[in-house]
Amino acid sequence: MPIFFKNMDIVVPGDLVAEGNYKIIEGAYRIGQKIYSRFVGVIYIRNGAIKIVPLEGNYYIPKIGDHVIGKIVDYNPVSWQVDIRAPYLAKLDASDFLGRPLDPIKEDITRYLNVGDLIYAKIASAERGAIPSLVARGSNLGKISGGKIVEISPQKVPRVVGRNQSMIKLLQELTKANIKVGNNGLIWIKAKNKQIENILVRAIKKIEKESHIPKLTDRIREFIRRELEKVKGGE
Amino acid sequence: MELKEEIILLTPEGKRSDGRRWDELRPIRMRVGVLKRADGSALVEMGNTKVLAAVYGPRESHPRHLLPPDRAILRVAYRMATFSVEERKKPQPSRREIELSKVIKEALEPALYLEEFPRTAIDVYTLVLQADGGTRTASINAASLALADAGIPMKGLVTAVAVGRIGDQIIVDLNDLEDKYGDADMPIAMVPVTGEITLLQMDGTMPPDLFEEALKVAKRALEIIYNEQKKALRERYLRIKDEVLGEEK
Amino acid sequence: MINEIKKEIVTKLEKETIFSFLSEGKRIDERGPYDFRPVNIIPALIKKAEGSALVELGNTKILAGIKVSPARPFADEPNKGIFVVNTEFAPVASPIFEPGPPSEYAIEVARVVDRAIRSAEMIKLDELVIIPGKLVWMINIDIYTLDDDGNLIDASMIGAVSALLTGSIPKVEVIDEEKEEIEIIKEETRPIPIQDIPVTLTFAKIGNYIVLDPSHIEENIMDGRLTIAINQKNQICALQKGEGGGFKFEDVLLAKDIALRKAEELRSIILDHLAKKPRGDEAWEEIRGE
Repeated sequence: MPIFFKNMDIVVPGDLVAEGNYKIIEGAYRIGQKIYSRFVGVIYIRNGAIKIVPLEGNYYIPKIGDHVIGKIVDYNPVSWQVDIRAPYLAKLDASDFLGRPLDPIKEDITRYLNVGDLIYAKIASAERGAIPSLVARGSNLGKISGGKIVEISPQKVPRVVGRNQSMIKLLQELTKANIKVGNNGLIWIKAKNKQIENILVRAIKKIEKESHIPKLTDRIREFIRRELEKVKGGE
Repeated sequence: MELKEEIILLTPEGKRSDGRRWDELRPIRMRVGVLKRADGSALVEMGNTKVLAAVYGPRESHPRHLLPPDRAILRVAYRMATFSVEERKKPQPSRREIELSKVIKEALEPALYLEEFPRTAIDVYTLVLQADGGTRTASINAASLALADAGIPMKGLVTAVAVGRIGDQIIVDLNDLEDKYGDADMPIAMVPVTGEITLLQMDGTMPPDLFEEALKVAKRALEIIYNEQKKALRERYLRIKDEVLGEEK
Repeated sequence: MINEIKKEIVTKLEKETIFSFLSEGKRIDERGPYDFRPVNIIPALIKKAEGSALVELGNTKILAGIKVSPARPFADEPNKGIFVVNTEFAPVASPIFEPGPPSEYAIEVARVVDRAIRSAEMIKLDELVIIPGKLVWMINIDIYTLDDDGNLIDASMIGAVSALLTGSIPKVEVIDEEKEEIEIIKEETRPIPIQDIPVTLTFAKIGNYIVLDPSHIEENIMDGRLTIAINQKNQICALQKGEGGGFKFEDVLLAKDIALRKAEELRSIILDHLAKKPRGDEAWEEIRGE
């Protein structure tokens, strides 16, 4: 069963990556025995399975259970419209934020969330072509204040989280920051001071840029340590 | 058409007006990710023809109920800059630009998985910055790269080139003079992975015996251009890799 | 049909961040309030144009091109050449641009650039006559926005001015004045006759702060915009207030002072680029990143 690329090679759409009974996890398709890439991405080959992770793409395809950071862009008396960087605006019903129904005659919905606010929410329903709906109450969901938002390609979020959460734990350990990751490529961070936040932003951008190069975790650890030293030394 | 001086399209030794042989392509330069705001973009140069392509999407479009419930729509706008040609072209879209927008759209569609993004639009814009023949084929080459750069899933890239003839001689990758004064101009696009021809047009006349030859020549040219496209997509990441790994040494 | 450019919604967090930086005398890209973003100009890169310039102002990119052709002069100015400025907000440049006729804002940009060039009398229109009273050169300046990261007015102006400064008029021979027969000799050219180099400086009012050269995020939250054009004689040669209010009398005076200070700096940057940058085919090597 020939395979034409090595693990972690860059592939482009239409590249013939393998021939034979490989299992396609994602990012590839089959014509007969031939397997082709659908994206510009990194190919992972393990135990007879092929996965191609795209390196590009600013759009997010909502999946039930995903966490997202959304921006309120519009509203009607009983719900908000939320931009979650998907090709569809999402809906957040007032009751899914407040935990109780809202009487539009008695209350103004903008009292709770208004255009320009940010929320950390969970995707409750998401069918292709339909308007996805969100819930934003409970655990650590809800309105976001302060801190900083980093925007990366949604395709790179798994690298920011890492296998078994290894990368995100590393980021939190080293910076002691509060981090909320949106599967839609928006990440909220809040640290002790602006300098640490800046280092974290740059680290996340570095992960995004270098996600296709091995030993990423080591480089990120090095980078953060170095930058934290500079900050301590300087001020 | 009156010509001021005689234009020699092909010398007896087989040299074309720009010094090329019949089967020589013009210098190809392709660069991906050249614009910041677009979701995907590419700049393609085939000799003096230079085209910029940008992709936005998949994204919402209004009114929503006009979008098909089971697939995305692909919208293409091919435009030429007023100063891209000898005589200033008026900025309003000409009939030619509208026809080309349509055929370019139909050249790209078969390569995309539009069913994956129902009720959305994928917008492709190509702008010819400098025209010297082969603007629609350069636009298709650029648009394919921009679609891939936007992270839109594709069956494969779409590659295009124009072949033609001067007398009995088939030529490849026509420049403007050959387009205007040659005996045939046949732009062709295909998805190399599936072998599907997704654009085929012709202007001029082609005797049947030369037609088959022309298609063969086109196929070989498309191989070369396809490799350039793939190289352009890979290049960016390989460069970052080199930079990063270089730093570590 | 007039289509309005919709403003994108800026989050409260972004607004807070911008104001927090401004209170410390900085902007979110670390610039000072009166600093221009880095300017890059690549002149004379379009073969078939009689003048051209690709301009990068930060991430904003515009491509200006000039086409020169014989035309009838205006009845009230029979011995003067003509120039027309047109801008196209190409849909490649922004998620909110659509194919179609220029929007109100696109037309405004074109007219402001036109006014600045015209009031400064940058082009010596009386040196563009072919047959007095009958035939003159018409200069079409077409400006394409390729990437919108804010301040399209200043970027477009730099492009128009750069294209004019490096542009050319072909030689023309009048064969028969009565019949208006002329012969254009493209291979022989002369520079477009220039006698002034105006520049525009565009300010945004954000809360109590005035900033120069707004990026597109700053444009999304600004209360108003003010463009001041300055010619080489250091006179104000055009003004345009845009987008709502914000500017009070003292703000206008402050902007005027900064504009006068910065005009020469911007002009030097332009002239420097035009003198040093390669043109034609070589210009494309830089675009390719070679």
